[in-house]
Amino acid sequence: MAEIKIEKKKSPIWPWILIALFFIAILIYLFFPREERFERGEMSMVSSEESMLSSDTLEVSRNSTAILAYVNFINDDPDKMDLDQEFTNEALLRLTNATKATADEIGYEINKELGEVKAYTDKVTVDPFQTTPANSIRSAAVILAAVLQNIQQASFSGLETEAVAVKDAAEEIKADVLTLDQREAVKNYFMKSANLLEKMNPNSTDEL
Amino acid sequence: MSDYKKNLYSLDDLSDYKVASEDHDVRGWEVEDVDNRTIGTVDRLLVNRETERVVYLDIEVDKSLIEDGHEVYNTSANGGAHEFLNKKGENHLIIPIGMVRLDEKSKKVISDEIKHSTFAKTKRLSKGTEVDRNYEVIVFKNYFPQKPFDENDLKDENFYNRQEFKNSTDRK
Repeated sequence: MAEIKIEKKKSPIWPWILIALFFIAILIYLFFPREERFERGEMSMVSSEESMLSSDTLEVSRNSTAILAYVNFINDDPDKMDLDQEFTNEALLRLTNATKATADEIGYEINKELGEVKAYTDKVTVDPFQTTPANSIRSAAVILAAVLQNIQQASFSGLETEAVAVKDAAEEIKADVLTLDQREAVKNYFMKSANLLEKMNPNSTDEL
Repeated sequence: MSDYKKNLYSLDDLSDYKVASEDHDVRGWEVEDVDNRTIGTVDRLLVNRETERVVYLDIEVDKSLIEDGHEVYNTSANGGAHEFLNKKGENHLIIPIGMVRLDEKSKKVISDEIKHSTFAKTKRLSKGTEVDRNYEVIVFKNYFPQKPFDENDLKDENFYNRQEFKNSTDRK
């Protein structure tokens, strides 16, 4: 006749799998992610810092380049200071850029002054060099000298003499005398400016 | 006698047990006697946990059997015999597993030895009622009136060793 046996149900394995996964998840949470997060965070911070450094370096490099572009332009071939119109205009443009770069370096706002300088520089380009007084060059030079002096007073206290020299050189340029007749004064101004900017250059070995 | 309940459970209540994989779960199977008369349907499997096997089939009896039962009672009452008068709603009875065979093809439980008329005059219980030793003894005396019980038979360790609970191949 019949017989029906019973047996214990086998414990399903999935709860153990779930428990194992749970512990693995905890272990992963406790160790790997934290380290990874930490590392990622560190890397992110490092990356961010590198990025900032890189950005700063770029900025410094850009500023430095602008200054060097002017200083080299003036110092490389002083004989060119026969002061033709093209050279003067180029020198003013480069001086303006170098001044702006130096101002940017210390966070000094000079947009207003730059606008005025640009207007004078444009006039220098247009006005006949031989027959026009140096009033535009002088005006641009005085403004840039004042900006450079302000920059010096704000961040380069040791360069007071050089800044004053630039200002004096700017004032040496007579507004009512032809540029052609005061080449040395203009040349001196450019040289003094180059000297000051070179010392203000963050990459300069003479930096204070 | 008070200890027997510990070993008789409905398989439905033992969540950690199931019918052995090599055996058939006969719940829901129709129960017939040897003359193909319907007795009812298997509702529960009552198991002995100690031996890990089914000892009774709890049968929800067919209406025809209940009606036949009434005739039995009426006849018996007229004859003055003592019979069990089942109440309304009492439509379950138990069959020792060793007294049936399984027809796997037709998914039927066949009672070869106990006939429809015997079931009809068997004391029944309501669905889900706890089966106690008193009821077991009543049923046994009804099914096997010629097999007397002694005190040892009523002890748990002996009771389910009776021939009525064993597979025919195991019977001596």
